[in-house]
Amino acid sequence: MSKKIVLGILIVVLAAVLRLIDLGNNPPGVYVDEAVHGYNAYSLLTTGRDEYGNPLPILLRSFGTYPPALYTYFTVPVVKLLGLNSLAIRLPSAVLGILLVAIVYLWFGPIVGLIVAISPGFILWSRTVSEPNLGLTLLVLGTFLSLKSLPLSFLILALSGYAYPAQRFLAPLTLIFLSYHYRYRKHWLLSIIVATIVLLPLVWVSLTPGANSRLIHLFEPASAARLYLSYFSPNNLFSRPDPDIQRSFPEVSIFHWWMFIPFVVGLIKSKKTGILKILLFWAILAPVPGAISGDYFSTLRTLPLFLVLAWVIAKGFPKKAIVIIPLLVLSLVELYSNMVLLKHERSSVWNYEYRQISHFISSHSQDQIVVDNSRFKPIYILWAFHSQVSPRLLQSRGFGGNYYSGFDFPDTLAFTNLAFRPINWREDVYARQYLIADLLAVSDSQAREHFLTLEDVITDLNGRPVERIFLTHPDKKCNVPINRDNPFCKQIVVQ
Amino acid sequence: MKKAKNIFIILLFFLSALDIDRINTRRGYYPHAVGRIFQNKVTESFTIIRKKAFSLFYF
Repeated sequence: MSKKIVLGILIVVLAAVLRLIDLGNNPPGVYVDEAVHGYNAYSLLTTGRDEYGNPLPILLRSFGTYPPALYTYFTVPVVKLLGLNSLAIRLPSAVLGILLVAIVYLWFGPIVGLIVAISPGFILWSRTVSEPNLGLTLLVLGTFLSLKSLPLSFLILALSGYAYPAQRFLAPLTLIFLSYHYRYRKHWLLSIIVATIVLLPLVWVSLTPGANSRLIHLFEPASAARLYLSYFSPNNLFSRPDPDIQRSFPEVSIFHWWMFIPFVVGLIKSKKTGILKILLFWAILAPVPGAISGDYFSTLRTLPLFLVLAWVIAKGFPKKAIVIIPLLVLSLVELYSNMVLLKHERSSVWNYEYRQISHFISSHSQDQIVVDNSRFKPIYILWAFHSQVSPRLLQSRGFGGNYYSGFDFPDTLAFTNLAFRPINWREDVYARQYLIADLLAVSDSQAREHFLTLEDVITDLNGRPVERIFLTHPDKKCNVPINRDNPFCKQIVVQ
Repeated sequence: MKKAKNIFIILLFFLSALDIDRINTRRGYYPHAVGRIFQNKVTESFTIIRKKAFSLFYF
């Protein structure tokens, strides 16, 4: 076996270890965006329809927005194999992340493969349900395959447009770029026809109001120039994490801090040797969706840029074992630390507590329960995910006329004995039921005033209380003289 | 020698700004035997210095 193959295998194995180890438990819990893909995969698997009862959606109706459903379809066979759990829904992303390292290794060489394998950003995106990670892998795979087979390349590139909203912008532009680049190549016309046919449903769905709901909501061109530059700021790339704490490890950004030095050297070298045209094309265009979205340094919207930057870092990387090995050891030590901190400091961000809440709901199927969703409307999907609720129950909501035009996401979602809605203090304390709420929703003085008894405290991974479960006592509440004339009390026998 | 002394004073300055409670809390997240390796005054000082240094390359 040649040295090159052994090196490639070692890098891919390293990438696999960093992406697969403790995958189901770190990040702890399941984020709502992850639960949407997981539960809809489960729903498609068991009923052939999504949670709203729509067969084979291109985009998923989800809390008034429409994320692409392609990742969900990748998840269906894994859920079939492993069941509905956090490991099953993250596994496709991890495998895609490992595949990305393998492609990058084959295309650009071992150092770029190594940079992608050990960079914190690429690791985190692969360890979570990540539509952008799917989009990036398909984009890179499709472009890489253009060196071998143009029709297959164009097919995959067209598919990548279905992976993530930002890819709807970058995938067609990459196709146009490659169509021009390979204009004299065999099967050129066939490839364009294949890509066009595959993209037609996407074009159709992109014209619906739902497909653009998030874009319209986020679109903010006024600060685009400043935000565009933020994606090239060394502070953001090598030190300061994504401002959205759900998209980063604590304390580290996309690349390790020490990669700044090879990055600067790589920039100088690239100026002399030039850069692949497709990489330059991505570097210029990839930050555009992030820049116009109004959010500062929103990494998930600009993933292809970071692959180009990894290439630049590799360009300036000294190719000597005496340098590589200590830096690799340092990076692995830091990654271990980052994983520990992520698990313990971000457990609530990743909704760790909702597994316990779902368990409580399942074990009280005969009781009335209100789950307060004042601060977090989509929590019903976490209950559906953890409790593996029958999809037919959620499908009974229906989706009204046009599936792709429903922006409304109601405050209340109610079933026979369970409701997700803000607590209604005028009514809820006069009915015998459990109230599940975070620390802000029910204060201690409110609990005393309304005769609520604390039944359970739900904690985060470090044992800090984050949610509380109260039981109402309408008999005691109605026994207070001032409440006796309350219409809700008239139905209760006052003791 | 004077240079080394200045660096030491600067390091002490950063050490004085350390959040010891945070270090102790974080140390508890690690297995007992390795907690001190990852959460100590030196690593925390380095993180503070690193953040301050990178804040110069900001736009």
